[in-house]
Amino acid sequence: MNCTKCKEILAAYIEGLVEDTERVELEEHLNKCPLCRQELQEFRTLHRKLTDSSRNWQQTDIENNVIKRVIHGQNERLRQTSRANRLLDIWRTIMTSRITKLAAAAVIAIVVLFGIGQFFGGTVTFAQVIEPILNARTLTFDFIVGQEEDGPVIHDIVVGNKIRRTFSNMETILILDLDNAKMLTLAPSSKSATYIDIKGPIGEQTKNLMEFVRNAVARLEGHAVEELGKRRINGSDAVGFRVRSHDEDVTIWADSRTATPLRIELKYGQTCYILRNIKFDVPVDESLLSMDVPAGYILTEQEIDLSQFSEQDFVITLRILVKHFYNSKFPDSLGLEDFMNFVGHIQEEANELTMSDEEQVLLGMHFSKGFMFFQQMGPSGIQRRYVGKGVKLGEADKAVFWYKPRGSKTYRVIYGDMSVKDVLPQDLPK
Amino acid sequence: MENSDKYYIQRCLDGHPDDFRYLVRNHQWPLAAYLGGKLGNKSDVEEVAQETFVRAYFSLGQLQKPRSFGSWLIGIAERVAKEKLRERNRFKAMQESFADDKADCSENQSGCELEQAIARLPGQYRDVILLRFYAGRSCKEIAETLDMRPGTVTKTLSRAYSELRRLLSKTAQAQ
Repeated sequence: MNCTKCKEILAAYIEGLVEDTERVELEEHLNKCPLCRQELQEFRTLHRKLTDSSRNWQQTDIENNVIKRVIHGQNERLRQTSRANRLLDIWRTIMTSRITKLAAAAVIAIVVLFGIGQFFGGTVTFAQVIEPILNARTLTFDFIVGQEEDGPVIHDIVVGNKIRRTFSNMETILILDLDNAKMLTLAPSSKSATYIDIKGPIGEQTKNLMEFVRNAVARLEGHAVEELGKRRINGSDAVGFRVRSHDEDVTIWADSRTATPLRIELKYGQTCYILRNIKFDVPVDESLLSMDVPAGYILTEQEIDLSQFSEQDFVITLRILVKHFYNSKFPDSLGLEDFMNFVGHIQEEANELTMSDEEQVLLGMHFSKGFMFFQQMGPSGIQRRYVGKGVKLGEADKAVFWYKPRGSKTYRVIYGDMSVKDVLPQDLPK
Repeated sequence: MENSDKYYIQRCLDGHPDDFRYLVRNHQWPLAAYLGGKLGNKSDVEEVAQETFVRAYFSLGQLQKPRSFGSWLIGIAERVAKEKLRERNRFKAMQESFADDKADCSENQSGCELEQAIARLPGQYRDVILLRFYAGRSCKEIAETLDMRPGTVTKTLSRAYSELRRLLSKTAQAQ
């Protein structure tokens, strides 16, 4: 055997894998060749070192960490895929509907404007008892839709016919100029500002805040004032009054010494409002109510046409709401209070779905139209009823909502599959 | 062995991420040893090995030959290790001593030369050494894994020893 052949099989020899005849030849060569003997020696040393070194690395345990990360990553990807699919689905629903130019942030505008209309209907009662609201130059208060004291809070600063409105459950700031039916919305995190022209019937309604108050006062005149006695509110002694008209039920708690209102509870139709931390004529930084776009904000102009909304807007809104935000199960109730909770929720969801600003605006605009359709029925005296509790999206035989259009003899009934039918009064779902 | 790689790769692709642990188990030590040669210190090795496996998992669909999972993994590890070295270079003041392909053996000077040398071996020599010692496979199993005759495996091993010895003596001279 020569040295070349010998070197080639040395590794096999160390492993004990050389056959007998070849091993005899190899060992004969090794006996004669000191260089190959040395090579064998060195290979053996290497073999030992490698074996030792491998023990070092066998202490490395990365298995569990890798699996954790893999499973986490896998779930994250699945979530993103389902997010993307959900988003796509939302847009598909919207895009197949008749959408004209939808206006920015109207989702909030609806709450704002209907809120104002109804709220000042209520404060007025108050104005019968004490007058500061009519004469106050500034007014600040917290405003809750619903009866939950810890529900989302709207904070209003009112100076004349301007209102600055902030929300506990979203970052958007609204500044309303009611004389000119204009609104400025500010999104601090993205530094974006939007001007909104408020047109249509709501624009008319909100034109003059003080007019509202006076009209509402007039409406409530002649109703009996019930005295509720005393209680402590925020450390002050308060006296309570309650005034009820056919669709308003207003309770006012006023400071027993100064007669200024501390808290107002208002029930208007089926919706409740709480106004608290009310303060009159406190100093207000009026630049907070400026309609000028603050430095550093990017402005986009939008026009809201609030005169155009239809049953179809409502049907589409309801479908998106139920499918994408309520897991395809109709919510227990549907009213301004639910909507207030929902507004905060939808903004969170929109962020989660990583919608672009533009998409968020579009979604918001769409929702507001749908909701407007729903909400305007109350003040317009249209009979309506939400009966969706427990119904699942797609259940064609279960009604979720019905209403009676003005002047119509039949009712419009919306079913769980979002179909709409005309139904005679005697056939209305129980 | 390679059959089980192939089987578990398919399981992962079929949506059973937990089965990836068998692939990790089969390949973690050779990979760690290889990375030891590139990176030196153990915590970096673990970090890069983890990242390598995670990336491998999410690229499994691109792996064409399941039987070469090990070398494919090393290819990924090489890129991740380079990123790690670059990152190290950025943050450490003594940049020169950590140039791209050099390892930081400060923590484990003598134990590390061997792994460094392994990391510099030509691909086939490296794979045989890693499988034989760090994955603890027999020459027969290596032959199956790498689709070689057993005689070729031992010859390759002999050549790998020669080359390792050469690289190690070069390092010794340089010091």
